[in-house]
Amino acid sequence: MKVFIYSFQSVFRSLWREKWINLLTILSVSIGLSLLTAFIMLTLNMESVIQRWAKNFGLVVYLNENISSDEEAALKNRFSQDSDIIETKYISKDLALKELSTTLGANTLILEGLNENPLPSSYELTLKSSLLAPEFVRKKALQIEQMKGVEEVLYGEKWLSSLYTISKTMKVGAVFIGCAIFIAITFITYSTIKIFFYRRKDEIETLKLLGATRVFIRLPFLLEGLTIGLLGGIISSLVIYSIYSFTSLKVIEFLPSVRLFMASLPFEVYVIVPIAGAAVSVIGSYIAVGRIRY
Amino acid sequence: MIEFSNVTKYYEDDIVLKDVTLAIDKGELAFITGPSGAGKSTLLKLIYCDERPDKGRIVVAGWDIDKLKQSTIPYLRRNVGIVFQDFRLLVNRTVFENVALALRIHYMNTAAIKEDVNAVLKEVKLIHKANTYPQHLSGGEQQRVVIARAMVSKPTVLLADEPTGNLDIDNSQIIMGLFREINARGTTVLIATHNHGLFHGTGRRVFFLNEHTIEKEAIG
Repeated sequence: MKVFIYSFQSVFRSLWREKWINLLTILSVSIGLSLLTAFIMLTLNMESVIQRWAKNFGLVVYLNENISSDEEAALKNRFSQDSDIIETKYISKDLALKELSTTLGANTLILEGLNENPLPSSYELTLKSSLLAPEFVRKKALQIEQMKGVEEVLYGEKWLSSLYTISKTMKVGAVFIGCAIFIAITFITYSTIKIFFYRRKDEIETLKLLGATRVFIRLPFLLEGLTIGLLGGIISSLVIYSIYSFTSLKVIEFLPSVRLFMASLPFEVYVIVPIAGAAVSVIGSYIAVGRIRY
Repeated sequence: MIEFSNVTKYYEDDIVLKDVTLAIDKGELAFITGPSGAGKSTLLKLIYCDERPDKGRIVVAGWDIDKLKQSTIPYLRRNVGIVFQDFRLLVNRTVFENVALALRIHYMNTAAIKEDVNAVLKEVKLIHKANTYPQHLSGGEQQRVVIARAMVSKPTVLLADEPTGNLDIDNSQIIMGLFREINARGTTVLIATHNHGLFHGTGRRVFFLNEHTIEKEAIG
């Protein structure tokens, strides 16, 4: 316990004595963490848009003109037993025509010339949102298309593919940016702590000869790294929270519908960011003091 | 208290100490003398493990240096007070803080540190300079701060490397007086010096180091 008390006293002395370089390091760490948090927030919002769209995503299974009622029932049975499908909705020829005329509104005149209903009956299938990978949906559509009584299966293939690609790219990007930022923070704290170590070289040499242990000499540097990372993380969390609160209010003011799919950062992220900053900074400090012989 | 048995030390290919054998008793005040480059400082460094012997055995205050792990060295050093030739005072710390360093490594509380440091500064007659920075002190005063720092943790052995090297006769006598006082309290004191005047007439044992080995042992 005494070792921590002494080390923290030493850290606070050093933070004050080397205030400018410490301030610069803390700001650098907080900028890095803010960039990462902002990117995570962007990815979460993108994911939210995709999830919202996925709730309404469906396959439209058009049935053959001459499908028998037994075949229709068999299809319905197969769809309802399929665990990948969460909802099955039957649209009869008449209902399809009715919906079309509702959609056309004032332009229903074009339907009046028809002698018979040209629209096929269909099933609208809603897939589980976790199964919306384009490849999976394509295979599912092909599988359904092979079924007896099915004429054609349609879905927003291009949309799905584009959204999925964007989402995947953003996730990979978040991981990549996260790694890059963590490496940068490690390097920043590594350099700062190494500078402090060399600035105090004479003092350390004297302490060694007086009988100071490795822990006595190194712990203050590790704790200084931890404090720098923690403060950088706290600043980053505060900045991101403030920016988000301010901009989301402004955006919702102009585009109220945005509120439907706007995702805020979970509270845990605001706690995890300072902890992650501290952890990464300790790693940087550990490498810095570990490479110096004692 | 300090035993050297056939100790040999090289710096790369150059031999610095060759088959050195000596024994300093508990509570003794002894001198090592010899010309510059004879290996006096290296001999002291071997005692506080700043250097390791290439051959032979060293025992200090019951610690077998050869068997000592790197992590145990600090605990040996806490039993060995060192008066460095180059003082090793921190210029950005006051006299009080420089002396207190030796106690801070023991994680002593502030009140106890204050009491012990003030007591030792009174002994070396520097209490009035407690808040002064080392660069504002004379050579003799700086040396007394170093002695205060070495004795504040009450070591069993005190080593001094050319403690009067840069001092005039008056200051040298003050410093020697302090060593005698420390020794009188039971601390083993070993002083390395090339100044024969320091040990003449003291009646203490003197080890003459020449050509990297103990040439003779005599009473000063």
